[in-house]
Amino acid sequence: MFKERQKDSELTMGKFLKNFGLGLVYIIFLPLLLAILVLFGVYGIGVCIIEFFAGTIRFFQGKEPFPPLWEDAKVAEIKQAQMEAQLGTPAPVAPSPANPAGPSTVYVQQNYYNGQHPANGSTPTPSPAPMPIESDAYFHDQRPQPPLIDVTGQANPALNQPSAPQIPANPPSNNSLAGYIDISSNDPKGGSNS
Amino acid sequence: MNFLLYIEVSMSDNDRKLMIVLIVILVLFFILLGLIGMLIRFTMQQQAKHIDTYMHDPVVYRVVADPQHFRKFGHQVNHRLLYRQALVPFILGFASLLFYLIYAGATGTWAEDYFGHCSTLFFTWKWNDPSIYAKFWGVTLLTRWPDLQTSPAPNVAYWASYVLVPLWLITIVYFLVVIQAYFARFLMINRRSRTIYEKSLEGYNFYSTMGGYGVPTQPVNNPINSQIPPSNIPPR
Repeated sequence: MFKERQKDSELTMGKFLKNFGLGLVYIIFLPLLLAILVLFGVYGIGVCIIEFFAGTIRFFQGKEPFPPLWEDAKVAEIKQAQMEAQLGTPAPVAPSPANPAGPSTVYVQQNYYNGQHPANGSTPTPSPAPMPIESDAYFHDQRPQPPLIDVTGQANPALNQPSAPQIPANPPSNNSLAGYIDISSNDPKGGSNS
Repeated sequence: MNFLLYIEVSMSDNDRKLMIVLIVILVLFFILLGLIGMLIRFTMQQQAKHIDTYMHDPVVYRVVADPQHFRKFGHQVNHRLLYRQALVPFILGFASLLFYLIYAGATGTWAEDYFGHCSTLFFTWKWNDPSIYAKFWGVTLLTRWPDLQTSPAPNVAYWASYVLVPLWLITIVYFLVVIQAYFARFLMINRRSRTIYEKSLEGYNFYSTMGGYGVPTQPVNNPINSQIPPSNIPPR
């Protein structure tokens, strides 16, 4: 490998003549090459002007100035499908909101209680109870709970929400059932009792 | 041999020396040109490889499946690349044009010799001195290096030329390099469109692929990238 490179870097008579001949060829074809370069330069300026105006028009239409070509989009789609096929997850359905959120969208948060509606005074129809899954992986029932009496004097009512029951780290031993179930009689391997 | 003897006889000693120098200079000039040409060719090869980055995936995933489509897609990509690369020289050229309009409008000098003013930054030689030239078989040749005319002497009054001329030169050279890259990619797209969809019967024998009962067997070599699912795009 090293010897080949060394051989390539050596200046031989053949290379000398080849460079000489190439120089002659380039001298002969120089006007033609320059003419081609100039033609491509003029054509390139035209291409740039067209691309500039096309991108500007798309930009002012609210679109991306240079969106990806459909071939590239198709490749991205195939790659995504391949990745999902390898992971074994179904392809997600592309969300198509009827009214997508934009700068003109106004969010109204309802801060009143589930009682009378302030606008028309009527009682709203109860919506079906949601089934939220919290970040602690527990299901929290948010349906109306019986009223609690705050005896701690805390101002924040959120602190008084009932929490999920804690699962003890060490399950109770079987010894607690020893008084109710005869384990030794059903255990084919035999229990501790004789 | 007789021709050489004739030259030997008909030329003076001074002419013979001049001819040897001329031949050496010509050979060196051609070699230098050849090396410059090889350098440009190597640069163009490197620039042309850039298009493969953009064309690889659509071809490998069978989205682009015929030479016409390949050329069309390749030229679209090439135009966008040209536009993106040409933004820098266009911005430089626009800035220099704006500078020139403001400067010339403010000073009222619309036809100054900007290049001549800029040459005050460099050495200049007396190339128009007739004593440095000699006639050799009807051809005017340089016999010695000319005398120095001026040394670099920057002038504050020419400050606009010192800004404008480099801007113009950088813009022109940059745009030429961009156009050269565009030309190289153009050639590569056309070459690839011919080669990557090429079907060859080199080494193929009709009878060697026949089965025992005259049934042609499947090709031995599986297609490359067979794990890639076929595209659902209808042919264009």
